[in-house]
Amino acid sequence: MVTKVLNWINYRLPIINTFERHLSKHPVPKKVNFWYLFGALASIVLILQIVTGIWLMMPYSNTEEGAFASIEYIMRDVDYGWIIRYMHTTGASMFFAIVYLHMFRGLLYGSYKKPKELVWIFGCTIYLVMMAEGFLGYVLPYGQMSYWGAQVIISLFGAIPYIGESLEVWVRGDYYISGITISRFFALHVVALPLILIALVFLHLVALHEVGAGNPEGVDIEEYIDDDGVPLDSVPFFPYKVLSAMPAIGVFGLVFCVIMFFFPEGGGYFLELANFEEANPLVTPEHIAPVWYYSPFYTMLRAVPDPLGGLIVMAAAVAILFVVPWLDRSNVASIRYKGILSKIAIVLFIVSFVTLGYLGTVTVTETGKIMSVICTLMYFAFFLLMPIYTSIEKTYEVPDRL
Amino acid sequence: MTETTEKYLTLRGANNDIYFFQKRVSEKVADVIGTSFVKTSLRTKDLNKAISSRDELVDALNELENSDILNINDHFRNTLDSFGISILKENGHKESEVSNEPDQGRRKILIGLTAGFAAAGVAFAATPFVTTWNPSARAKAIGSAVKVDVSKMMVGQQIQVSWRKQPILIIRHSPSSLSGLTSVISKLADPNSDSIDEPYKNINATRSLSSEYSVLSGVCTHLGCSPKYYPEVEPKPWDSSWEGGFFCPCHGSMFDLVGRVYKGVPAPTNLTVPPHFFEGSILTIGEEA
Repeated sequence: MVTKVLNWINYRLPIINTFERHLSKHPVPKKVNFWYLFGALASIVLILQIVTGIWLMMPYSNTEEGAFASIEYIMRDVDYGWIIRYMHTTGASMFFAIVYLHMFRGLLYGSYKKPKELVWIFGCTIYLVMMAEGFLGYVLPYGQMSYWGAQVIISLFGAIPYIGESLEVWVRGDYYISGITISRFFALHVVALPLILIALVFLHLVALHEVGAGNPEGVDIEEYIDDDGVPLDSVPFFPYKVLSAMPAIGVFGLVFCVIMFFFPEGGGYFLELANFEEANPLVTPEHIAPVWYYSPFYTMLRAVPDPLGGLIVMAAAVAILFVVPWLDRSNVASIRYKGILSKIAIVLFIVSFVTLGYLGTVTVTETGKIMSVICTLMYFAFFLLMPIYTSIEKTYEVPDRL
Repeated sequence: MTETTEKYLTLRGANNDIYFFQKRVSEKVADVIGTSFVKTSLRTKDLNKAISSRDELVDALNELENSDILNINDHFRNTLDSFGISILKENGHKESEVSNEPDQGRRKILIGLTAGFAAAGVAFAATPFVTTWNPSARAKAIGSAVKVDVSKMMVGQQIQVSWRKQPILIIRHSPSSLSGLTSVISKLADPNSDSIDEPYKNINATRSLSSEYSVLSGVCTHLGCSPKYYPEVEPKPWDSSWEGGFFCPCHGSMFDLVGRVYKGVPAPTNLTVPPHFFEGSILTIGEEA
């Protein structure tokens, strides 16, 4: 009976074929390592963010007077409201942590190499939209950090010559970050950007499934296929990948719950303490720092004395990710078979990125300033010198099979 | 060097100077050695050594192809062994005594346990999403009990108070209207409130905890409109022998003075009596004493 109904539908709408093609029977490389889990974890967190977000929308009030009070209301009065909110805030930080690891995996194993350029570009676009989404969401509670963080970010538009100032007013819809700003940020945060995000994730996955998932060896498994055209070194997604991902999902859930229940503020890195105070346009908090996931870029912004220059550097730091597929001239994909120069470069890159991240969360000092300039240069050197060091270094022979 | 001399040979390794042997083999051999593509290092940089090793390997593989596996010459077996190619079938035969069939009972238990734990997890995870839809602490505070002083009411008067944003009807009955309650019984569908969960049943004719006051929910049991109070005993458009009571303007349901429903009207049951108690003349609605 069920089969009959399914066949009836499948004849008109290819659900079974699509399900088999993209999920149950989708061939994936048989040997991958833990770096390949973060894509699945990211999609789980995305769903969690959407669901908790919908639930938070219900008691939230997007007005100047009501926003902060409604957050207090969610935390104190709504039955289990606190857990939904902490799930959402922890989810935001976890989402970025996972996406950073996921992107680093891409750099490590050359997940952007031909023919996966579009997968990489869709991924970078997802990251860009996430940054906007996270920023807009952080403004909604209308706490002190929401207000002053938004003040700083919106002031960046002011650095653009000629149109800057009017652009600032246009973005805010007011002369300060008011209820009007909040309600438009709310609409963008809960409807517009999530829709774009879901569409991009869809494209990311369809493009990935077209060219096939990578592996840490950088071996093209499509070269050895069986009579049915299935790569010999692949296993079907279900049950092999689903079951092996489950323990990892469990561990992730445990980490997530520990943070959510015991350290939801993450020591002021996930939820900044100043944000537990209502926004006051007349008093700036003593120490303004972005949430941890923006801080590397914030440091780059601060490293440049000129606001417009800082904005350009910061934008370039994200934009340069998009062209990585054309910067890497290596004939191998994986770091395992790349030469010593690439290995040194990627280590220096991590050091610079983590240092930039750290510097963004602390107060500016003289040494900090010099460090941030050096690290910014190192960050860009990693990408800009990539065509050189990947083409002159001696690479190792990649095996034929996985 | 002709092409044939280098057949199946290729240079690999970190510096691309080690000879490797690469050959695709027949299905029969693949079955025996577990791979259809033999690729193994000959561990030499010397072409001549590589060629002799290659020839040994090709001979051994041909032997596998052409003869019975179990009868294969030890010499060939050693050759294959030394290049890391093992013959699976022999071991396979011996091990097949031990069943490779999965233990279905055990598998069922494990699947059941996994599914059970997953279901419990889903239930726990779903809890906050379900409970946030409950009335919040604020709504509960607003929805808590209300107090009314009913001593100022005139006899025959009806007042309306709001509890949980619902109309609550309080009526102070005159002795005559109370005594008239028995005369309408023949018109009523459920005079003793048997079909509903009546909280203060058979205490007073008023259906409340007071012998003088009725406390009724002003929500029609049909579709939620609020019935209006018509205490006069006189012919009405909806009933020529009206003896006083409540009439719902929405769909014409009729109730007597203590909220009992008439026969043949859309409303199925009597008006409900909310939890309440009296402390002297102070009526508390929404709480039991």
